[in-house]
Amino acid sequence: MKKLSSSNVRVVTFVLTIVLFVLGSGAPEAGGGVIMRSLAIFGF
Amino acid sequence: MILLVAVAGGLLSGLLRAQFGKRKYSPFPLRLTWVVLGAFAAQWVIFTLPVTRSFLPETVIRWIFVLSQFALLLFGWANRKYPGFWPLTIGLFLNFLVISLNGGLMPITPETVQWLRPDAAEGSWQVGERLGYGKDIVLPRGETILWFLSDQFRSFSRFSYRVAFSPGDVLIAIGAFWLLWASGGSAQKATLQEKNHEPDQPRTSE
Repeated sequence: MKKLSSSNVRVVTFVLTIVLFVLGSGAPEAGGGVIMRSLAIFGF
Repeated sequence: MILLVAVAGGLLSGLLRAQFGKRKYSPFPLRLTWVVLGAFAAQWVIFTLPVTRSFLPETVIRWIFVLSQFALLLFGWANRKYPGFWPLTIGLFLNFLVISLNGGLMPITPETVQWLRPDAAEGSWQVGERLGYGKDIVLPRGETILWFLSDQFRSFSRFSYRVAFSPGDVLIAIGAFWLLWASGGSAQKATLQEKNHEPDQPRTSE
Protein backbone atom coordinates (compact mmCIF):
# COMPACT_ATOMS: atom_id res chain seq x y z
CA MET A 1 0.00 0.00 0.00
CA LYS A 2 2.84 2.31 0.91
CA LYS A 3 4.61 1.48 -2.35
CA LEU A 4 1.47 2.19 -4.34
CA SER A 5 1.07 5.54 -2.63
CA SER A 6 4.68 6.46 -3.38
CA SER A 7 4.18 5.52 -7.02
CA ASN A 8 1.14 7.74 -7.26
CA VAL A 9 3.04 10.64 -5.76
CA ARG A 10 5.74 10.19 -8.40
CA VAL A 11 3.16 10.24 -11.18
CA VAL A 12 1.42 13.34 -9.80
CA THR A 13 4.74 15.15 -9.33
CA PHE A 14 5.81 14.24 -12.84
CA VAL A 15 2.58 15.39 -14.47
CA LEU A 16 2.50 18.54 -12.36
CA THR A 17 6.05 19.38 -13.46
CA ILE A 18 5.10 19.01 -17.12
CA VAL A 19 1.95 21.09 -16.65
CA LEU A 20 3.89 23.88 -14.94
CA PHE A 21 6.55 23.73 -17.66
CA VAL A 22 3.86 24.06 -20.32
CA LEU A 23 2.14 26.91 -18.47
CA GLY A 24 5.42 28.78 -18.21
CA SER A 25 6.37 28.22 -21.82
CA GLY A 26 4.93 31.49 -23.05
CA ALA A 27 1.73 30.33 -24.65
CA PRO A 28 -1.03 32.88 -24.08
CA GLU A 29 -3.77 30.33 -23.70
CA ALA A 30 -1.80 27.78 -21.73
CA GLY A 31 -2.79 29.28 -18.42
CA GLY A 32 -6.47 28.80 -19.02
CA GLY A 33 -6.97 31.81 -21.21
CA VAL A 34 -4.50 34.47 -20.25
CA ILE A 35 -5.54 36.69 -23.13
CA MET A 36 -9.19 36.35 -22.24
CA ARG A 37 -8.56 37.09 -18.61
CA SER A 38 -6.39 40.04 -19.52
CA LEU A 39 -9.09 41.50 -21.70
CA ALA A 40 -11.75 40.80 -19.10
CA ILE A 41 -9.98 43.20 -16.78
CA PHE A 42 -11.06 45.99 -19.10
CA GLY A 43 -14.68 45.05 -18.66
CA PHE A 44 -15.64 42.97 -21.64
CA MET B 1 -5.45 25.56 -24.99
CA ILE B 2 -3.64 23.27 -27.45
CA LEU B 3 -1.00 22.69 -24.81
CA LEU B 4 -3.49 21.66 -22.17
CA VAL B 5 -5.17 19.37 -24.70
CA ALA B 6 -1.75 17.87 -25.48
CA VAL B 7 -1.04 17.28 -21.79
CA ALA B 8 -4.44 15.71 -21.15
CA GLY B 9 -4.28 13.62 -24.33
CA GLY B 10 -0.72 12.50 -23.69
CA LEU B 11 -1.47 11.50 -20.12
CA LEU B 12 -4.63 9.62 -21.08
CA SER B 13 -2.96 7.79 -23.96
CA GLY B 14 0.05 6.99 -21.78
CA LEU B 15 -2.15 5.56 -19.04
CA LEU B 16 -4.07 3.49 -21.59
CA ARG B 17 -0.83 2.32 -23.14
CA ALA B 18 0.43 1.18 -19.75
CA GLN B 19 -2.89 -0.48 -19.01
CA PHE B 20 -3.00 -2.43 -22.28
CA GLY B 21 0.67 -3.39 -21.96
CA LYS B 22 0.08 -4.52 -18.36
CA ARG B 23 2.77 -2.13 -17.17
CA LYS B 24 2.85 0.56 -14.55
CA TYR B 25 2.78 4.16 -15.67
CA SER B 26 6.37 5.02 -14.83
CA PRO B 27 7.39 8.67 -14.98
CA PHE B 28 10.94 9.55 -15.95
CA PRO B 29 13.19 10.77 -13.12
CA LEU B 30 13.34 14.39 -14.22
CA ARG B 31 16.18 16.64 -13.12
CA LEU B 32 15.92 20.22 -11.83
CA THR B 33 12.18 20.06 -11.20
CA TRP B 34 12.54 22.81 -8.60
CA VAL B 35 13.55 25.14 -11.44
CA VAL B 36 10.15 24.63 -13.06
CA LEU B 37 8.39 25.40 -9.80
CA GLY B 38 10.46 28.55 -9.33
CA ALA B 39 9.89 29.76 -12.89
CA PHE B 40 6.16 29.16 -12.65
CA ALA B 41 5.98 30.92 -9.28
CA ALA B 42 7.80 33.93 -10.73
CA GLN B 43 5.37 34.11 -13.67
CA TRP B 44 2.42 33.72 -11.33
CA VAL B 45 3.66 36.73 -9.35
CA ILE B 46 4.10 38.95 -12.40
CA PHE B 47 1.03 37.87 -14.41
CA THR B 48 -1.60 36.57 -12.01
CA LEU B 49 -1.18 37.82 -8.44
CA PRO B 50 -3.27 41.04 -8.39
CA VAL B 51 -1.11 42.79 -5.80
CA THR B 52 2.12 42.46 -7.76
CA ARG B 53 1.07 42.34 -11.40
CA SER B 54 -0.32 45.84 -11.33
CA PHE B 55 2.37 47.46 -9.21
CA LEU B 56 5.59 45.97 -10.54
CA PRO B 57 7.31 48.15 -13.14
CA GLU B 58 6.87 46.97 -16.72
CA THR B 59 10.62 46.55 -17.17
CA VAL B 60 10.88 44.30 -14.12
CA ILE B 61 8.00 42.16 -15.37
CA ARG B 62 9.64 41.71 -18.77
CA TRP B 63 12.99 40.79 -17.24
CA ILE B 64 11.44 38.29 -14.85
CA PHE B 65 9.49 36.74 -17.72
CA VAL B 66 12.57 36.32 -19.89
CA LEU B 67 14.68 34.99 -17.01
CA SER B 68 11.97 32.52 -16.02
CA GLN B 69 11.87 31.23 -19.57
CA PHE B 70 15.64 30.90 -19.56
CA ALA B 71 15.34 28.84 -16.37
CA LEU B 72 12.83 26.58 -18.11
CA LEU B 73 15.28 26.19 -20.98
CA LEU B 74 17.89 24.93 -18.49
CA PHE B 75 15.36 22.39 -17.25
CA GLY B 76 14.68 21.26 -20.80
CA TRP B 77 18.36 20.92 -21.56
CA ALA B 78 19.02 18.98 -18.34
CA ASN B 79 16.37 16.43 -19.34
CA ARG B 80 17.04 16.26 -23.07
CA LYS B 81 17.75 12.53 -23.01
CA TYR B 82 14.11 11.73 -22.27
CA PRO B 83 11.51 11.29 -25.03
CA GLY B 84 9.79 14.48 -26.11
CA PHE B 85 12.25 16.87 -24.52
CA TRP B 86 13.86 17.92 -27.79
CA PRO B 87 10.62 19.33 -29.26
CA LEU B 88 9.71 20.70 -25.82
CA THR B 89 13.01 22.54 -25.50
CA ILE B 90 13.22 23.72 -29.11
CA GLY B 91 9.63 25.01 -28.93
CA LEU B 92 10.39 26.85 -25.73
CA PHE B 93 13.58 28.24 -27.28
CA LEU B 94 11.61 29.60 -30.25
CA ASN B 95 9.19 31.32 -27.87
CA PHE B 96 12.10 32.59 -25.77
CA LEU B 97 13.81 33.92 -28.90
CA VAL B 98 10.86 35.91 -30.23
CA ILE B 99 9.98 37.17 -26.74
CA SER B 100 13.54 38.29 -26.02
CA LEU B 101 13.94 40.03 -29.38
CA ASN B 102 10.69 41.93 -28.96
CA GLY B 103 11.24 43.51 -25.59
CA GLY B 104 10.38 40.66 -23.25
CA LEU B 105 6.79 39.93 -24.24
CA MET B 106 5.19 37.67 -26.86
CA PRO B 107 4.16 39.72 -29.92
CA ILE B 108 0.65 39.45 -31.24
CA THR B 109 -0.71 41.43 -34.20
CA PRO B 110 -3.63 43.86 -33.87
CA GLU B 111 -5.52 41.77 -36.43
CA THR B 112 -5.19 38.68 -34.24
CA VAL B 113 -6.34 40.58 -31.14
CA GLN B 114 -9.37 41.83 -33.06
CA TRP B 115 -10.05 38.30 -34.24
CA LEU B 116 -9.77 36.98 -30.68
CA ARG B 117 -12.26 39.46 -29.32
CA PRO B 118 -14.19 41.18 -32.08
CA ASP B 119 -16.48 42.71 -29.46
CA ALA B 120 -13.61 44.44 -27.66
CA ALA B 121 -14.37 47.96 -26.54
CA GLU B 122 -12.68 50.87 -28.26
CA GLY B 123 -9.39 51.73 -26.58
CA SER B 124 -9.25 48.60 -24.45
CA TRP B 125 -5.94 47.72 -26.09
CA GLN B 126 -3.39 49.70 -28.04
CA VAL B 127 -0.70 48.93 -30.56
CA GLY B 128 2.72 48.92 -28.94
CA GLU B 129 1.29 48.27 -25.48
CA ARG B 130 1.06 45.18 -23.34
CA LEU B 131 -2.22 43.35 -23.68
CA GLY B 132 -3.83 43.74 -20.28
CA TYR B 133 -1.80 41.95 -17.62
CA GLY B 134 -0.85 39.09 -19.92
CA LYS B 135 2.31 37.91 -21.63
CA ASP B 136 1.56 39.56 -24.97
CA ILE B 137 2.41 42.84 -26.58
CA VAL B 138 0.38 44.14 -29.52
CA LEU B 139 2.76 44.77 -32.40
CA PRO B 140 2.12 45.10 -36.14
CA ARG B 141 3.75 42.41 -38.21
CA GLY B 142 6.12 44.91 -39.81
CA GLU B 143 7.46 45.97 -36.43
CA THR B 144 7.87 42.46 -35.05
CA ILE B 145 11.26 40.79 -35.14
CA LEU B 146 10.87 37.18 -36.35
CA TRP B 147 7.10 37.66 -36.61
CA PHE B 148 6.69 34.11 -37.89
CA LEU B 149 7.61 32.85 -34.40
CA SER B 150 4.96 34.98 -32.69
CA ASP B 151 1.35 34.08 -31.87
CA GLN B 152 0.32 33.99 -35.51
CA PHE B 153 -1.69 30.76 -35.67
CA ARG B 154 -5.40 30.83 -34.91
CA SER B 155 -7.77 28.13 -33.79
CA PHE B 156 -10.81 27.28 -35.90
CA SER B 157 -13.11 30.27 -36.07
CA ARG B 158 -16.22 28.16 -35.64
CA PHE B 159 -15.28 27.54 -32.00
CA SER B 160 -16.54 30.16 -29.61
CA TYR B 161 -13.31 29.89 -27.60
CA ARG B 162 -10.74 31.42 -29.92
CA VAL B 163 -7.04 31.06 -29.26
CA ALA B 164 -3.85 32.24 -30.91
CA PHE B 165 -0.61 30.32 -30.65
CA SER B 166 2.94 30.25 -31.96
CA PRO B 167 5.03 27.66 -33.84
CA GLY B 168 6.92 27.13 -30.57
CA ASP B 169 3.65 26.24 -28.85
CA VAL B 170 3.03 23.56 -31.49
CA LEU B 171 6.41 21.96 -30.78
CA ILE B 172 5.80 22.17 -27.03
CA ALA B 173 2.44 20.46 -27.50
CA ILE B 174 4.05 17.67 -29.51
CA GLY B 175 6.80 17.25 -26.92
CA ALA B 176 4.40 17.21 -23.95
CA PHE B 177 2.21 14.61 -25.63
CA TRP B 178 5.21 12.48 -26.57
CA LEU B 179 6.72 12.59 -23.08
CA LEU B 180 3.50 11.70 -21.29
CA TRP B 181 2.71 8.99 -23.82
CA ALA B 182 6.21 7.49 -23.57
CA SER B 183 5.90 7.19 -19.79
CA GLY B 184 3.28 4.53 -20.30
CA GLY B 185 5.40 2.28 -22.48
CA SER B 186 8.58 0.36 -22.77
CA ALA B 187 10.31 3.26 -24.50
CA GLN B 188 11.64 4.51 -21.22
CA LYS B 189 13.23 1.20 -20.32
CA ALA B 190 16.12 1.75 -22.69
CA THR B 191 16.55 5.34 -21.55
CA LEU B 192 16.63 4.38 -17.90
CA GLN B 193 19.05 1.55 -18.55
CA GLU B 194 21.29 3.96 -20.40
CA LYS B 195 21.02 6.48 -17.59
CA ASN B 196 21.74 3.98 -14.87
CA HIS B 197 24.23 2.04 -17.00
CA GLU B 198 22.27 -1.10 -16.36
CA PRO B 199 23.30 -4.15 -18.39
CA ASP B 200 20.79 -5.72 -20.73
CA GLN B 201 21.33 -9.15 -19.25
CA PRO B 202 21.90 -10.02 -15.59
CA ARG B 203 25.50 -10.87 -14.82
CA THR B 204 26.35 -14.44 -14.15
CA SER B 205 29.03 -15.50 -11.74
CA GLU B 206 32.02 -17.21 -13.26
